[in-house]
Amino acid sequence: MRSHLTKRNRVLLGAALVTATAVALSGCGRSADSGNAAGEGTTVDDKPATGTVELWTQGADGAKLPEMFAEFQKENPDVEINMTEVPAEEFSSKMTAAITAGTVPDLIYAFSENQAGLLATGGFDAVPEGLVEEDEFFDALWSTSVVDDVAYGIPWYSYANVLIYRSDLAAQAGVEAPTDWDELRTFGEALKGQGVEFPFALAVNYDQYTAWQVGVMAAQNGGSMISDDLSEWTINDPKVVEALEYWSSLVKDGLASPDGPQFLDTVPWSSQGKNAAIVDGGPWFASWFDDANGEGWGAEHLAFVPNPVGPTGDAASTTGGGSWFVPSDAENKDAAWKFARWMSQPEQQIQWYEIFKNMPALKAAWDEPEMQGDPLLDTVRESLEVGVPRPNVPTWSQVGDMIGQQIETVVRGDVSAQDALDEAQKQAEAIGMGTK
Amino acid sequence: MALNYTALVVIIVFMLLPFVWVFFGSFKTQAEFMSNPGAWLPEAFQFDNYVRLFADRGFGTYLMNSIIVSVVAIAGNVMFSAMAGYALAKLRFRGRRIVFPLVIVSMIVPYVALFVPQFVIVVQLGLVDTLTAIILPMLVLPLSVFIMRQFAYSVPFELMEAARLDGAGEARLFFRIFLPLTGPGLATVGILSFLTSWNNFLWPLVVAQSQKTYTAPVGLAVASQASNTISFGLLLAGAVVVLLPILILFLFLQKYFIQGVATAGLK
Amino acid sequence: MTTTATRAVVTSGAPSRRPRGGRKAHEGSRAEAITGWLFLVPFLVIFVVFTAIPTVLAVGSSLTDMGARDIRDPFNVNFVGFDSFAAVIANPSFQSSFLNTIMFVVLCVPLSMALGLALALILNNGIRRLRAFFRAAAYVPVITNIVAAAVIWQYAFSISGPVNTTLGNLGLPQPNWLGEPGWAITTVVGMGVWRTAGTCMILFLAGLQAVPEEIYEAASTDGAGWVRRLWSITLPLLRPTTLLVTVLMTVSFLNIFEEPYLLTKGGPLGSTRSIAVWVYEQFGFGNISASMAGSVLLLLLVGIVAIVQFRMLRPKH
Repeated sequence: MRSHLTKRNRVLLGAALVTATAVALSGCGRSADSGNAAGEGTTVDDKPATGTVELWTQGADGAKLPEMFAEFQKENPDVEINMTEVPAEEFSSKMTAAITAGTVPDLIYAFSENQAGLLATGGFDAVPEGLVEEDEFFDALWSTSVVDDVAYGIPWYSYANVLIYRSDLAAQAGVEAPTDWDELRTFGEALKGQGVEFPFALAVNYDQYTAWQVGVMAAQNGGSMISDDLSEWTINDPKVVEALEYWSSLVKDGLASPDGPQFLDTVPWSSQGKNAAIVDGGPWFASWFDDANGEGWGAEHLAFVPNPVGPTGDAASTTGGGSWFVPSDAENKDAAWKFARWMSQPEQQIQWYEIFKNMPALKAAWDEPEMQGDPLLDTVRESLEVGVPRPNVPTWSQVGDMIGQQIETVVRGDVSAQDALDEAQKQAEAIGMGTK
Repeated sequence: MALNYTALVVIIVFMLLPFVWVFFGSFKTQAEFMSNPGAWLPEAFQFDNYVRLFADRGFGTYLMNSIIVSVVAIAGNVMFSAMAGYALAKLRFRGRRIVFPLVIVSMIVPYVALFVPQFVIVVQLGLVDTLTAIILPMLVLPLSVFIMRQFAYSVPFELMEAARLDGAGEARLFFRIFLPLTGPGLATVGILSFLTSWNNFLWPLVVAQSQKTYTAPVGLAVASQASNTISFGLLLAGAVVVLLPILILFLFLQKYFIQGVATAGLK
Repeated sequence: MTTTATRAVVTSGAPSRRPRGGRKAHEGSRAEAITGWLFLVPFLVIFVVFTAIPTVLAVGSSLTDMGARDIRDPFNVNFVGFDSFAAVIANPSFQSSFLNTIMFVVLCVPLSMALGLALALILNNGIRRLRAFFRAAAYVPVITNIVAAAVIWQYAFSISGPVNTTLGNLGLPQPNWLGEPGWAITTVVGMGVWRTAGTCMILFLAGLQAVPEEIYEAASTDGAGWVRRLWSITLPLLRPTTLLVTVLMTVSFLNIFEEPYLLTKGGPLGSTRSIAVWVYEQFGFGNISASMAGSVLLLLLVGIVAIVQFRMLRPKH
């Protein structure tokens, strides 16, 4: 369907396109490996950025980013940044069309869970030699943009999920913050005893996010849904099965609802005491509680601790964030990389945190005074160190959604965790890894 | 009679409940949506969402783009589909029989298969990031041609025969005899092409490379993004703003619309 | 775009009236031929550029093994014939999406038509005042922007949303509208009916205009009751309209996409995944040849159903 007609390679329109398809169909065939042209060893110097940078944003960050542009322009007076906000849901459709047609922006950012899919298009440049240092970023963020040992993205911001719980309700029930799976269960039972209908809020959308919550529990149990070299699925590994058994037992024993919270229920349910703890919850929820219940509510009612460890004593947390990418057909790559590099400096990492509350992806930024003394930040930082990246293969979102469905059969039906994950493994093998 | 009113009111109330909620919701703050999602009424009527939509989020530009796109799309559909419908139903020439099946086919091709090739073509035409590119695929909708063809059949041949015998040329036949008789058909085409162009979402989003070319639905999707959630107040205020023009148009034209539908489809 | 258009509409297999007599005098004059093609130029140009070529490309890529990695160089792919089609047809999730689509058609078409007909009947001669208001009110869901409509429904039917809050206040059970398969289907069907009943109403209203008032008056004086008049007069006279609306709604719901995609993303457990949703998902996953093959299959399905129904509609001379 797509004809590749870049500026370099203009082909006649109309009938010619049709003919070309016919020719292509009869005579086509994969020639030597052509995709994923890795960085051509380009370097980016330290001179000020110049020219115009077209930047596409997704999500709400775009509304606030111009504040950073103004700062950047102070140091780089000859640069102009044109930002276009794109609805996050349709970002990949738009990007697919843009890459196919060769009319791409100079810079984009993408969320961790979408990076493998975007990179599978082969439409992005490798991070230039020496632009940033890999070890300065949290591994779970850096690794999501690596394909075949080549890094394509510069991490921008990060988050790590934590256990968010109602400290007041826990105190009434006389329980301390849980540190392992057994304690988590006792913690829930105690709160249930105090009349909390569903002590735990789990990710029950039964999609890739549910799958990954179980994946993180598998990591807490020393297991993984994918082999270390990303070459095969290991979804029915006994460690993963145990993790799902534990996760689903929380639902089956009435400690969590199979139906919610969903969409907007999270804040009301926990505020009303229908839930008492969000397991592996995103740090952004914390500010929602203040938004809904008034400034300072969170400080009085909420506490944050890292996710409990599993039977093997392994700590693990869901992490994610955003990274910058430069499309291969971009026109002003130099200035684009310079802006991305600038955004990953400690100063800008802090500044962006203060503007938008997105936490730094750069380890050093967490040592700055602005990042100290906040219990949420302390917990997130600790969790970032044990962050597990999602399976970094292009088919993850498809496989993840499929696993989510299998998990639902365990929770709602009589399917055993083993059977569900055996089925998931079978389907995942059919889907494959999506790599060459 | 009373029973009829009761039944009608019950049905309509259920159909309109979402809009009642949208209307009231457009005055709520984000905190209200978060803390009490089940509430119907806002705590206070504040116009902050509307103000922010236009003042901070540039909704005025998007609305203006939508108006331009829709006006041109309506004009194009009315003119070109009248011509095509007339040619298909009222003129005899070799090859016309192959055209109508094309109209039908283009009405049922799944859109997801089309938008990427369409975009590549727009880029090759040098039209990327223009309102022209947004309008072009909607300039003569197959549906409009379909309706006008059906409509053209309802215009009596005798009338045209008589004019032809009087020596009227083809252009005169079309403009003086045919067009004046097709008012309701054109109203129908106008409303439906307005509906399509005004609410179109994916295509304008793909074509636009900057926010100055965004149309209202795209702008609405962008404006309502919030950190890990949706800015409901802005979304609902935008929904009210986007709904109004088409509602007003429908209120004025509905009589012709129904008449047009009747003539086009149901003779 | 296509869905909105088809939906909002009026298509039909209206019997084309061949002129009889007086036509042969100037059949196929040169001026007519030139005018005819000239008048078709705008449509044909747009059709070729924005439908024909893209369709050929789509069908073409369904015969290859194209994936996301090929989008920058789409001709560098292998021709695999109908392999993608075979794989798609054998795919269990495609099969279930096929069944779901049929289910949506079977549920939504009659419901939407019944509601539309009821509204049309009442509006046509059941009331005297406020007709324009009620007519517009019933049409509002059709003209509402889908992005907004989807969020409204998603929010309204979320677990602690306004619907459940109201039900709770009335002491009724509060279902998990979007999260439990049976309820999710119900909600998607509800939204589908809500968005199309207005179109059915307009079509039936148009059809009713062709029913002369005198027939009713005659029937009333005969003492025929409301129900009898409906069954023995109105419905038979509306037969062409009914058939037309059936085709239209069937085609429209075979393509059902926005409701399940925006409300439930095809879940839970894939229970609301329609063929169109499946196709879009595969596109998103980068399985381009599978997605295109699915599109072609959907096109064929819609085409066959439409042709069969058009045939049925054709008046018997």
